[in-house]
Amino acid sequence: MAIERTRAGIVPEAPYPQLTLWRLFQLWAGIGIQSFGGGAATTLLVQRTFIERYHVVTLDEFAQIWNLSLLAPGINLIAVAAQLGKRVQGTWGIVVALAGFLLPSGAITCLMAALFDRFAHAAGVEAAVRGIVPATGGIMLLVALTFLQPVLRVSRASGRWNVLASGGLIAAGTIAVIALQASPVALVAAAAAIGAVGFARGAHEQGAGHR
Amino acid sequence: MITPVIFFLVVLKATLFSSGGLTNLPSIRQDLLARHWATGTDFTQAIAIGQVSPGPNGLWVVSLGYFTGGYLGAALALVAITLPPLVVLVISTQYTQLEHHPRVRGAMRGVSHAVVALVLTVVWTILRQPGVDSRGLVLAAGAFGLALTRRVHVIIILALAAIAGYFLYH
Repeated sequence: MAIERTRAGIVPEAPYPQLTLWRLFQLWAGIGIQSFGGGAATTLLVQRTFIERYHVVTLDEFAQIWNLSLLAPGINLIAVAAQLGKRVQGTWGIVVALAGFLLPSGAITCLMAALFDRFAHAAGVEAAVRGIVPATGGIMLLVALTFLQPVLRVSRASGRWNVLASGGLIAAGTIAVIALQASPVALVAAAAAIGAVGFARGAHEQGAGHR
Repeated sequence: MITPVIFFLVVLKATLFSSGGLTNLPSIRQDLLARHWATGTDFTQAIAIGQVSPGPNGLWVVSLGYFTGGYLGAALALVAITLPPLVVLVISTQYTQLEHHPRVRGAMRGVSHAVVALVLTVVWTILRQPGVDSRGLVLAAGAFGLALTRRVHVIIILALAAIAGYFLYH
């Protein structure tokens, strides 16, 4: 099913023989359950599992999957899970990835709501959470650096001014959201428009995947 | 007593017009408060649970579903937030047909910059939360360093942070 790699000339019968539907379910269930503290841990786990461990996608391809997920409504990680599931096992891959990602973690979330009054005021829970929150910030910084790598590589290939332009664009976008309260949707739309005009000439340099 | 179908549609509508896990909040809040199906406290607690429970933060809606309509409400909420992101499958098919156009590639390269900027804003938002003091920043730096080494699993890093938090703030 996952014959998305025809561009690279690879059309295997079972492109990821080690990733059966059951294994895919286990992987996503593991990612869902282990990702306490929101998207930071999840994103890092997804990157390490599907880029580094199973080589389902390259870093460039993962960045593209992430970009596309931003263009869809709702939780980005669900869109990422659906795309990666499709790549590995087609339609059933989508179903299994989403079931693995969301059913166990959703069930635990529901149980936590059911038991909320009991655990919320338990001694130490609040203090432990206060430790977890900044740690997720540190992990998220690593995620940002990971996403920065393919951006900088393409910019470097296009010349020094491109690197400066990239840095400026990222800094301006970050400041616009933090200081000017710009909406993330507006930022993505503006960046796409700027890219369509400013980066169209160097666009041919993208595409070659880097593991 | 809530009407399950209406509750489902309220969450679905809000999620269809949202981006990320929390931007469906204002619409859901407005609709449910108007119907008296949830209280302000339900929302506060649901968001708190969403932050500490496993999975994406957007699962806060599942907690809200439980507070609003029990286990059925939670299940409906989960389905309602799962469907809208699947629009990405249509988008990716369209993109595959257009990706060789220089302007489309340029636009995607622009979006890549926005992604880095958005993740950086998340880092900033997390580290600017009221509970994060100078010791929290040290924890953040420690978590970053440990994750960078690749030798310590993310769940271990978060467990260590929880233990550190317990001893620092309890």
